Amino acid sequence: MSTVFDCRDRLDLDLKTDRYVLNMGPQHPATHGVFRMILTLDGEVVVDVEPVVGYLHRGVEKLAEARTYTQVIPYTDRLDYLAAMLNNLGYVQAVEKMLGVEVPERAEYIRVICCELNRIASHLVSVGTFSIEMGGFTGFMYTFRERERIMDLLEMISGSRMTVSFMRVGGVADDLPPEFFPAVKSLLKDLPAAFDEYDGLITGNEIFQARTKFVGILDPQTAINYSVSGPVLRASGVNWDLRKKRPYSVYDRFDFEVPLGERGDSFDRFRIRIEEMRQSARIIQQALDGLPEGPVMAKVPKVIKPPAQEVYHEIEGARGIVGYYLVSDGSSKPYRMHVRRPSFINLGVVAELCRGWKIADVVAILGSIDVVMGEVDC
Amino acid sequence: MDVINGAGKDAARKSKIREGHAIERLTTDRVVVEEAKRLIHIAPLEKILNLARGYSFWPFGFGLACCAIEGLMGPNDPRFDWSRFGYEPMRNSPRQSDVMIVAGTVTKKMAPFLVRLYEQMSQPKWVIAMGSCAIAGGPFVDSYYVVPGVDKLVPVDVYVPGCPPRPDALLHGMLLLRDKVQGRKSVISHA
Amino acid sequence: MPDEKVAARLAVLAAGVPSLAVGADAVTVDRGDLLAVMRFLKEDPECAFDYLTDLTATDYTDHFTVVYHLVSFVHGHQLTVRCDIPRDDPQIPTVMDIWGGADFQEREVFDLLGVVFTGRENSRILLHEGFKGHPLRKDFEWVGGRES
Repeated sequence: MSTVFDCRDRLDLDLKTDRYVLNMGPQHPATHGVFRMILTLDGEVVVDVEPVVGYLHRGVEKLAEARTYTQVIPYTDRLDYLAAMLNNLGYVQAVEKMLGVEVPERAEYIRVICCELNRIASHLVSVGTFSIEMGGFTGFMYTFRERERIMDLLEMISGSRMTVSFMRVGGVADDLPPEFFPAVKSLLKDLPAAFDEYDGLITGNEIFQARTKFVGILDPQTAINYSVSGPVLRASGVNWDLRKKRPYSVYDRFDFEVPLGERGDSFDRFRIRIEEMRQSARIIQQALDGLPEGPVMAKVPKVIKPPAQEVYHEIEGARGIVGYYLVSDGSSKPYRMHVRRPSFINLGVVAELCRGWKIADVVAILGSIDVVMGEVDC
Repeated sequence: MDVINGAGKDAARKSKIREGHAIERLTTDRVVVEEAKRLIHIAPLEKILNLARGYSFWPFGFGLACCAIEGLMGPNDPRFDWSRFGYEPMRNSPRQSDVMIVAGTVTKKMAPFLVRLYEQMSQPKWVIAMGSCAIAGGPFVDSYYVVPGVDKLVPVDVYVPGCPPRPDALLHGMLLLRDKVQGRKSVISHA
Repeated sequence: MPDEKVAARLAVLAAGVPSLAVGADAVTVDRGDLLAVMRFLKEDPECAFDYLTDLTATDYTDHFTVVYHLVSFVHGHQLTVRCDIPRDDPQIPTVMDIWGGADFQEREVFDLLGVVFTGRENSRILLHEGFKGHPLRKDFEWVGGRES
């Protein structure tokens, strides 16, 4: 709040401002979907933000109680639809925990490759849309150029560009097709140059930096208190990445770094997403080099009936910690499924962050938190 | 040159004018007639306006869910690029747009906003229901909070199936809408 | 599953809190002692559960169970805390003052299950204000959207 530019200080004018309520959304280009913010403004300075969510509440948790364990997998795609593979992974790993199934090595490596590809695709959308929201349409075009190549790869693997439903309980649905390998190799060769291009085009842009540096600073204590996770948490300097802290799948075999921010402002939240993309490209390269032979699916019964128990499993999704809480009653359908959605919980901190900034900064702050409404509303 | 059969030269000429182009009243030079037929259309004003409208729909950015990424951001990106069809200006104000592309699931909380925004759009306006959620509720049709299809709320012109449909499928849908608006014969497609 | 050190500290606490039970995979406590236990779990330096990662509840037809998943960033261990509440009186104290991240999650539990959190304002978050009923309850009736 200390760096808010108040024109009354600089211009020696006797300006009177009024307090009024402005509605932003639910249909708005910069709210990342159907998200509504009721802003209480004093002039142009935000005094309070009331986020209203639920415009995309589809009742997935209730629907899951009427579907078998495998039939729930397509619903998990549609939660965080930009990183469907990661959502799939969290869910099937939770069910595998209940069943005690061991996934074959090749399937684990394929899972890692798919998840990291999807993480890069998701961050590309985040970077591109953040660039549009700051006014630069070109940034969007460049990031989507790479994203289209990743969509092609996902289509080769799973048949669908976005809502893949590729993971299965016990492995993955299918093996990698032979045309995948030359395509991913050529993509990995072009990615570092692409990331440098984004650095030059977006990160280094003066206007972009002026609009995002020191805007919406989130200090680590507030972040931890508000259960923030993912790039937003790491931008505040808190080193918590589940791939390193509680390695799942085969992530402990790969060598990668976790980028951390220094100030916790919107610029840091944006910058570490680009760094994370670089690290994801490293992981994919290592996974491809070490891909073992073998089956892609474990021996799992046709009808999945885990014994009565409850389980909670978390993975590091693209936007934060994705957690699945499953309660089984011994039948073929889950008794209760709850999804710990990172965007939903990250939104809890938006009101704190936006206070004292102007309307244009609200767009910068929301864009840097990067929410996906499918995930917020579940 | 044409061979004139039957009644006198004058009657034949008159009948040719009724079926032919008005330019034939001025000249019989074949090259001129062909070029004029190609370049000059004479039609009611509405037909000409429809021609213009069909070649430049301004979509309304009404992205709700996953289909919005494939349907509003996908066609904008360098590969699919709907600006070569004239559909690039995606306006976010309903007053400034023609086509409302309902991309995603319509929930009961969002339904009143959808209807209000549709009513705010000025005539002529069209609606494309994109994706199976907008067509009939999609995988969430059994939910307590989902409207089973946007045609329960607003009249729909084109349905684009898929979950989500590829950006090229949506472009195909936009071209179908163009055919519908311009009054061409091929309106129903089963691609 | 609770870490040894945590289990040891909890055993010390259980001496003063009779309803606290340390199970194999979770800790159960009554709603009357919930706040005291939660505050201890956050403030005790050996436990230091500074991060509330998940707050949810389940309807078991005769009672509700509210589940808290806690993580310690300082030490790296996790803990699950469960609290059963009767179905005809679904009230439980709020932990919003301990962890701010409980705010949205408690509102969601109230919205979808009807569990009332005492000590804070309970308002719907996902469903619209006039919605009647709580969908995730097992006895929730609704007319499906499918045309058949």
